[in-house]
Amino acid sequence: MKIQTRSGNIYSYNKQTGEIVGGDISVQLPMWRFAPFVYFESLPEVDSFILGLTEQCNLRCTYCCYSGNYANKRVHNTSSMDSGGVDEIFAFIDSFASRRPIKFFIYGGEPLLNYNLVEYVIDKARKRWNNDVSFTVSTNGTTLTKERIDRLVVNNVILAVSIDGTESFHDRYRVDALGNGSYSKLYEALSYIKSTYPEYTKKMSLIMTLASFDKIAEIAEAWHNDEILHDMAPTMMNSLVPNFTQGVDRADYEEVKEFYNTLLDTYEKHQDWVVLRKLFESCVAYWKERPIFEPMSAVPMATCLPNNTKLYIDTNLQIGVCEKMSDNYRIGSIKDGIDWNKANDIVRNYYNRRVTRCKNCYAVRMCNMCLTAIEYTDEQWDVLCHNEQVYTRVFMYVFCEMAERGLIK
Amino acid sequence: MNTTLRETVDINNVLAILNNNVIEEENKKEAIQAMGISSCQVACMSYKCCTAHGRGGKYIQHSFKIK
Repeated sequence: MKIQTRSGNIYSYNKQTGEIVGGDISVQLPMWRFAPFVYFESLPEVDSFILGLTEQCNLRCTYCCYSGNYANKRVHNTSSMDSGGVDEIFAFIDSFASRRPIKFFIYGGEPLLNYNLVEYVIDKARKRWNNDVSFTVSTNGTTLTKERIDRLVVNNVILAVSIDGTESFHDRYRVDALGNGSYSKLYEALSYIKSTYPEYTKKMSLIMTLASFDKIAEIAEAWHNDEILHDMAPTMMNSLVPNFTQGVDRADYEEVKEFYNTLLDTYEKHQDWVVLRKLFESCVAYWKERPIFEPMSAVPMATCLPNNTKLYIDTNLQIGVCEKMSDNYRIGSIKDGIDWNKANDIVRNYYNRRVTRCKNCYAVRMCNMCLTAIEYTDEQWDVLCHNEQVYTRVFMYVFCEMAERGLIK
Repeated sequence: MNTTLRETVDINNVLAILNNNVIEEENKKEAIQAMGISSCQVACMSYKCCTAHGRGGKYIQHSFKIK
């Protein structure tokens, strides 16, 4: 794989060593040798538990993967955990996970719709594990009253708040069932947090979904000009979950590269726009942190299991690999524990599909495909693989361009 | 190798930036290789999570459009 920066320099990537070199090295590199799949019967690294406290939500974000527009995903409903279920989960964790501290990610739906249960989880867990626990609550922020904020902040609970930009961008997608925007309530909560707990804003997470990606420069500018948001960088920027029922475009390298080139020009002029800074940090993170060495033997295919650190538990107390996995792929239950045969079947299926596909791929060390792709057909994988390759190359281009322009910090 | 680099940028400096994570230690190589050599696994090893702390997760792709 090679790219050419705007200055005319050519850089090539050697997938065997992971190195980027100057010039064109169009040589045929050998195929990857992947080690065979190995059956596993433990998940020794798990210390994080994502509790899907409720499947209820007071919003109907148009891109939501639970909107009913996605195949293999649940739809909004009234199912919730109760305190008895939480007690069962805690007993399971005691018997299953030895690592400490235990990290809880309280998730939904909108978990604050069941606020009493959120408090129950926090109080009970603190007592049970003598404060050797941490908590993050994912929320749309619309029910964050001052009283709740006070209580959560004092209890050292991290809030992970969804915000897609300033009002006009956010309210285009993040709406209630009647189509009303949700920004004003969220903004009121953020304003209170910032004025009352300024130090806390450095700890909390702002999660941005890039539904209006073509408007990202406008979002960044508006964010920069907002008196509350301007120094609060998004913690994480997510793209939409690919939705094959509506069609997923095959990315075009030149088109995507030009889009990022234009965006990079804007960022070069406005390096204090935190949204663009975070965006470009995210784009080049894998390139920047990639390990450069040549494996001397066959390598296992990268999968999260059995080295994963987290498990997802849904309202029916079924266990998933993570919150992003389709509901059709549970690997056990709180009552019966992990079904190792089922877990191994899922991972083996994914592992073997990738071994076949990835042996000649230049993007394999940068690939972001994960176990969530198990739900897709071979034809759908063709599109996802194509896009992974295009974006791997585009982000190599962005990385080289940023290095030349002195933008890598 | 066909080197076509221009002299307007300090190429050695740029290449050093582009290759800043050379793994020398054998035990580290083994650990990374055991997890499958991918960058997402390295991020996972470093930050102990693939999504919750702003690392990993899906690449920022705008090809997943709402149609």
